[in-house]
Amino acid sequence: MLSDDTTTTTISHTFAKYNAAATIYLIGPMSLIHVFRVYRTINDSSKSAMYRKIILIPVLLSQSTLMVVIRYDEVHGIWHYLFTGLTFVLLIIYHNTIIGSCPKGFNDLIIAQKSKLSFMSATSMAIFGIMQISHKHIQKDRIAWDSVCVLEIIAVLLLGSLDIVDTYYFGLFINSR
Amino acid sequence: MEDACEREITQRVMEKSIYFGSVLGTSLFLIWVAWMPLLQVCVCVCACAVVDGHGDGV
Repeated sequence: MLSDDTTTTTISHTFAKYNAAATIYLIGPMSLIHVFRVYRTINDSSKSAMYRKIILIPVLLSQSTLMVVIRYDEVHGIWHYLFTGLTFVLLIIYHNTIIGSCPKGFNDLIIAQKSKLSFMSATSMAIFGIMQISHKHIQKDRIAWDSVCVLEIIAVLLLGSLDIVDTYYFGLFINSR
Repeated sequence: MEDACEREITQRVMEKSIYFGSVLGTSLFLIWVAWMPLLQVCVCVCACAVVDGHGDGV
């Protein structure tokens, strides 16, 4: 359990403690982003139809696994870690394979930007995971606990910034026609 | 000819809806993740930068 003398907490603990509020709030933004990802996948003209269909599977799966992650109040322990890791990996796979609709000549730039952000996000998440597993009583060490919480936030923000990159180039594409 | 034109308009309206939907969705998600006010301001600035001048070509 989270100690009472600190307001710093992980995203998972927030899911557990305020599950109803988190579910009600997050279902909207996550659905909008999911529709965007599906649209980007289906309309990626640089990939073959078969390739797009294959990548659509991890995109659809990531939404299901995310729903399991949000239910941390009921799904604990190894299953929570497994589904969190799976969601993260599936989204990284999507972001590093799908370019989507973008102005001509921007493909290489998008891939370069996304691979850098993905690397930083994966590194932050890996350090967060390793520290959580390796320190049994990490919550008692205030500095270490605050650090891992901030690392988790940074990892998720970087993952979200991949969608911002997508959105930015999609906006450019709309204007370029 | 009219059908093609109508399809093109529908396609562009859908693209624009998805564009603004994704800006809204990503912003709301990131604002929720970033519990610190400073980070929330950064998210808002990023979202405004993405929207500003883009996605209005219907």
